[in-house]
Amino acid sequence: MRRCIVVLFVPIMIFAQEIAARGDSVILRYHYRVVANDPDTMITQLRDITRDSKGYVKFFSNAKIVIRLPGDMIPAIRSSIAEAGFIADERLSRKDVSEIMLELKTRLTVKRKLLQKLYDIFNSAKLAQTLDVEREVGKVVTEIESIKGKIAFYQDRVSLPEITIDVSQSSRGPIGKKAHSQWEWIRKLGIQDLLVSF
Amino acid sequence: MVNGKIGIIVIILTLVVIGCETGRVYKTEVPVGFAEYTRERAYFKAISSDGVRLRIYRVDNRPYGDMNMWRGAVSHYLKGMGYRIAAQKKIAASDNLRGHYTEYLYRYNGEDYIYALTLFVDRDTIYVIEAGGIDSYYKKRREAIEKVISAFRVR
Repeated sequence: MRRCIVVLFVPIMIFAQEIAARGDSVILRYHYRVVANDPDTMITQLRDITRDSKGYVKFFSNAKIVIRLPGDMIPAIRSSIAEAGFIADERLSRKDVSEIMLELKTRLTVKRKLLQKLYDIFNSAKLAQTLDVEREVGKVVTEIESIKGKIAFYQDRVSLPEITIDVSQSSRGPIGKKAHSQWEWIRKLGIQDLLVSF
Repeated sequence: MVNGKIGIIVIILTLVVIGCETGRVYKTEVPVGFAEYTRERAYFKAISSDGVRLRIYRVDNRPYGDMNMWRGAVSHYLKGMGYRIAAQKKIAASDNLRGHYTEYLYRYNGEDYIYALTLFVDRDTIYVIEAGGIDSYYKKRREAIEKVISAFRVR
């Protein structure tokens, strides 16, 4: 089983590393469906790893966690997932935003040049023209800030891939949990007996 | 003829003994929205339309233990099985019978369940009240179940 996981996992990691090596701006999204004996413990562990890896938890419940981590931490988090449970499904989606980033950076350069020109005009303008130039400067500054915001957004998405982990509990229950009682009636307690022996 | 009479007496005595063993020594109501399994003798069992179950029975308090001891034993076992305590409180039922109600959360077959266990402990007997169902359904029935637990009394 572990061999199968490795066979599935290796191409995905090679693919992700190739993308990183090319220096492309690619937003990576990983999605794991995991069956675990103890989902609560697993989610707690993932939260701890995320915190220690300078990432952050975007969402979590007792059956799902969405985290964002630096790209180089992906292999480590995947190992943790594989140790805590069985990976039933694994998906990687990529969105290439290189073109968008290139366009935004070009627009930013152009707008900055335009702003510089406007400042030059402003310095040599007569009083009547000053108001018009000032209005134009305001517009360009707003546009520049908007472009910078978009670039920062995409850079953040590229640098911190999103990992969604859906966790379901093994139907065999929490294996490995040591639960024993001397009394037979106590051993019959629990939701399972209540549902089955009714 | 004499053998026939003895046989009938033996049968009657046997039935009386069985009746004493399995007859309920506690009194309880059927929660609103639940249907009772009336053929059950040793247990009180009731179920709601959305599958919330209620089961009441008694076990011998042997070896003798007080409420704290049994609470500890039960809690230790259920926690070991992966149950998490969500709420607990003391219950004062009728006839000054004191009990303890604990609500546990448990994930089973991919769904969240609430399992509520109430214990009433006296010198000879432990009365066990189990209730449970899918989280959202149990929450709707909780009030009716708690009402029945409060009204529980020993004959």
